[in-house]
Amino acid sequence: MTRSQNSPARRVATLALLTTLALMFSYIESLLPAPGPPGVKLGIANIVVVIVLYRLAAPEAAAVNLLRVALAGLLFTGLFGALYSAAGACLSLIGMILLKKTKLFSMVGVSMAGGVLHNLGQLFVAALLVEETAVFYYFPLLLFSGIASGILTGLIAALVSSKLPRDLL
Amino acid sequence: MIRDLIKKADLILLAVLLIAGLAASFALARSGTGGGQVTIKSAGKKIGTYSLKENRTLLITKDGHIFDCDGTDSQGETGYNILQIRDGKADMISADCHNHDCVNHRPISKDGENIICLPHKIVIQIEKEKGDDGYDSLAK
Repeated sequence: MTRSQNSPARRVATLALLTTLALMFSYIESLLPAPGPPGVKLGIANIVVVIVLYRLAAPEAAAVNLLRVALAGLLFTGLFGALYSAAGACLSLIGMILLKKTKLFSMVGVSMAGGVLHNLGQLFVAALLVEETAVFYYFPLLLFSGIASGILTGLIAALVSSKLPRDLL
Repeated sequence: MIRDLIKKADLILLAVLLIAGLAASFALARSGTGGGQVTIKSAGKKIGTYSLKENRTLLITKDGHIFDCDGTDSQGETGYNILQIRDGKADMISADCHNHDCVNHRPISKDGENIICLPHKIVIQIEKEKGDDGYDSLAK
């Protein structure tokens, strides 16, 4: 590592770039037709978050994901969308960071847990906003869709990360 | 390659999550038998109960009022959902919310099933008919 690679300016630029990438993934996904019931989605922005979590560190991953949610809220998901995403993002970040710390799980497992927790976080906010526990009717569906999308984004993250040059991140 | 990609702990976690999901859907499916009446809630407050056996169309407003309607117009209301009860099923046929998740939802008929319109905070839920207390009939 040369000094320039560790410089604060480089760090800021890298994180800004990654946040933009994650934001673009969110945007692309918002353009796609909804695949089914509310809350079910691919979550491709999680690819970036998982890669950042592994290649950089936990605070960077949290920064990228939370900034993405805030910017997406301002640009296209709206206040309520951002509220749901923020709850999902917080829960999923906490879960992924903890699971990674155990060193027992691969990127796929960590991402899977992240997918499930993201959906659960959204479900809790929905239950709070509607003041109605009936939303937990969606629990199994969101659990399964979180598993599927988490595994998919985890596999992509693992493959992409293995091809990234070592000095890039 | 695959060995690096997926570890034993990942598979255990996957199994645990799948079992949890299956158990939850099984529990929901078991509780979801029969069903006799439709309860309409607005912002968590019950605003109306209707039998599934009688065909009718209801106009529900965001501020918690219910009117009978013919299902074609909103009677000048904004922030409305139109619920159709027909042949033992309840279906949201129209609404002016922004995402239309409630309208896209399939018709519901089983106990415990619901249609939720998050933007309008409206919950349509199927429950057991009055007088048939859910907890007592489960304990029998």
